[in-house]
Amino acid sequence: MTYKPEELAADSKSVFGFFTYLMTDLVLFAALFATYAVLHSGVFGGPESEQIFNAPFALLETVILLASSFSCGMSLLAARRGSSRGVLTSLALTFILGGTFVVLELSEFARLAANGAGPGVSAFLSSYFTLVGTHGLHVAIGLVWMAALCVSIYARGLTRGNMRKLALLSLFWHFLDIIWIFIFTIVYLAGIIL
Amino acid sequence: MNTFPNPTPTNDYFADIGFWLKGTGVHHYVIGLILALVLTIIPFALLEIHLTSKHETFTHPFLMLVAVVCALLQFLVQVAFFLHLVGRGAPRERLAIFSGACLVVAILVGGSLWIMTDLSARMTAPPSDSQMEFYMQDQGGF
Repeated sequence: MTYKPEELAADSKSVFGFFTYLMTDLVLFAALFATYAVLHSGVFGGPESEQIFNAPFALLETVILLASSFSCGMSLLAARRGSSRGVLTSLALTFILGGTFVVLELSEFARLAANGAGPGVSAFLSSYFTLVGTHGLHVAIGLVWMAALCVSIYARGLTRGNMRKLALLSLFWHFLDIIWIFIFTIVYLAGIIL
Repeated sequence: MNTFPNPTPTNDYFADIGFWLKGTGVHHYVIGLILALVLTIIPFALLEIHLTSKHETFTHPFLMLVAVVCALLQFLVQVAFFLHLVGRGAPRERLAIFSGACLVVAILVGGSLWIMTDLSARMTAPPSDSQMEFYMQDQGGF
C-alpha cells in the first residue's frame, strides 16, 4: 500500500512529536535516577540495597522485557509485509511478555513490603519505589495502549492510522526497554556490588 | 523544518515516515537482541561468580566499571538497532533532540551527584555519642 507524500509528511511529524515527548520523559527518569543515586545510602536503619535485591530475579525481568522489545519489532516487520494477522500475533506475544514483566515487578514490590522494606521505611526505599514504580506504570500504560491498538487493527485492519500508532507504540516500548537497562545496572547490579 | 525524510513514497511506510531506515530488516532486530542479551549477561555472570566465591574474585570498582560499560554499550546497541537513530539516512532532527536530551540528563544526574556527594556530611546518619565527643574535642572541647 502506498500513501500520498502529504500523508507521509504529516505522519513523520507525528513520529517527531512523539519522539520529543519521549525525550522529556527521559529527563523525568533522569531526575528520578539522580534522586535514587543521592538517597541510596539514606537507609535510616532499614534494610540496605544489598540485603533486599535479588540479581537473578532482576535478570529474569530484564530478559522478559528485552524479548518483548524484540517481538514488538517483529510486529512492525509483519506490518510492512501487510500481514495484520502477523501484527496481532506478535503484539499479543509482546502483551503477554510485558504483562508478565508487570506482574513480576508487582510481586517483587509485594515481597519487599511484606518483609519490612516498604516505601515508607527509608529515603532509599522511597526513591527505589518511585523510580521502578514510574517505569512499571509506563509499561502498564503501554499495555493498555497495545490492547486498544490490537482491537483497532482487528476491527479495521492495517489502516494508515493504525500503522502510525504501531510505529509510535514501538518507539515507546523500545524507549522503556532502554530505561530498564539503567534500572537493571544502577539499581540492581550496583545495589548489590556496592 | 524538514521532518520529511523521503519525498518519494516507497512501499515501506515506516521508512517513509522516518521511523526506521531503508533496508531495515529482521537481521537488525536479531543482532540487537543478541548483543543486548550478551551485554546483560556479562555483568550479571561476573557478579554471580563474585558472590559465590565469597567476594574475592574481583574488586568492587572493577565490577562497577564492567556493569557501567556494558550498560552504556547496550544503550548504544538499542539506540542503533531498535530505535534506528544512527546509520545512513537516519533522521537528523531526532538525533539532534536526542543528543540535547542526553546532555540535559548528564548535567542533571552528574550535577546532582556532584553537589550531593560534596554535601554528603549532611546526608549521613547522626553521629554516635563517641563520634560526637571526638568531634567536639577536635573542635576545642566542651
